[in-house]
Amino acid sequence: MSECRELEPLLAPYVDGEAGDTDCSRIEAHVDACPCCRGRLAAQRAACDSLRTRRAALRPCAPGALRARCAAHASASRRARAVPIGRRGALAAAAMLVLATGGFFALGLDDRAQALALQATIDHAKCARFGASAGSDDPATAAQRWQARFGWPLRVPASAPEAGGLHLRGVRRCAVTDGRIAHIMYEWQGEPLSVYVLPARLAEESPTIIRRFGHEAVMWSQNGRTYVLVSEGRRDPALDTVVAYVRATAY
Amino acid sequence: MRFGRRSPPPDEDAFTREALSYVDSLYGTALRLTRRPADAEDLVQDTYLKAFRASAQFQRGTNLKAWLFTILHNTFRNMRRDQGRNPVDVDSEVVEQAESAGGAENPEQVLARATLDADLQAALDDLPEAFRQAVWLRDVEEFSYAEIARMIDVPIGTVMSRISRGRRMLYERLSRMKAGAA
Repeated sequence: MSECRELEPLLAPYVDGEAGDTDCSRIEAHVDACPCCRGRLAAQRAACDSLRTRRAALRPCAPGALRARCAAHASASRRARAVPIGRRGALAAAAMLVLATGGFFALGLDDRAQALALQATIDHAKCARFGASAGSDDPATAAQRWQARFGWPLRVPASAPEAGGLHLRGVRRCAVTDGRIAHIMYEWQGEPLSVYVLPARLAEESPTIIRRFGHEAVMWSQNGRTYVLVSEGRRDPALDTVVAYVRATAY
Repeated sequence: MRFGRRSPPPDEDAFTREALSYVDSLYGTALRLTRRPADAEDLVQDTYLKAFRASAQFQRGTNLKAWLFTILHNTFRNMRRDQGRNPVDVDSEVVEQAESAGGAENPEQVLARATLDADLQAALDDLPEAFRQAVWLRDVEEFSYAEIARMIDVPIGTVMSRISRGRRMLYERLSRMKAGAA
């Protein structure tokens, strides 16, 4: 019996034709004399053949949306490598400083709304350049998953052709805040656009523009939530339509 | 501000194309690991995100599929650790005792009747995780023992043992299904 147990791990390579000569001889001699192991060997072969002949049927097809999102990661990574190193370094250094100090007072910011805008801007720049996993791009599914994972409801504005072709990519948690801030990721006019949502009121109801690190953030509060919308580069007047759309469709 | 874009070098295109050609395999494996389509999608996305970021670290000429699968399994382990669960929390001895040898029927005859893919899927899904993972990687995804050992971070002897036992358990489950249906 102890030899049975000792030999069982070798049955797989034996069936696969990958056992050494010594092991083959041992197995064959043992199996000749042991009906139990003869059965095990036959079971190995049968299970193995069954799986191998049905490989194609066993492998599911990945959903089309998943393929598209994975392909988008390749493009995002290429974009990241196109960012000038100096700028990447400055952003990383700023992010490190904010993270290391809790993000509020290190840069002389004594206002939590300003600090949130800064944090959102840095996170947006990092995600846009280095890529980020966005989850589902279906607004209802994304909202449902968010509530299930982090315990607070989030309304996710859907893609909106009327808002300059705003395209929803998905929702992720802002990594440094452990689910306290939701990051809704969009593509707008060929560039990343982010909406950060914090379930607390930190800003005025009317949108305020905050400029940080060459990005512009638009911040406002409504219904007990604070929103920070961050886009690429200089502010485009058409961005007002996006702000209006998010304000109308969010909580 | 708009940042300049550049054309990727030709081998980067080839890397991307080949990497994306494994999405079905990665998704199928992720589904076996997580058992939930939404989690499987997240796992595959995270895998590609990490792979494309780290593409410079991939040694050209080595097995890209195995490299992607290693990232997938590492990501899954980290995910499970974050959730406070042990990914290979399997006591092989306990499983061994519980999985007593099946009946004396001819295995080929049993499996010839259990040809329904759904039965095979169900039997596979019913295996303890560590065994399911090893059998899947070997018999469906066709990795070598050494590649599987690196992927799931266990000694090669353990991989052989899990595949041997896993196949036997699979056969026993199919036999029981057949007996139940009779």
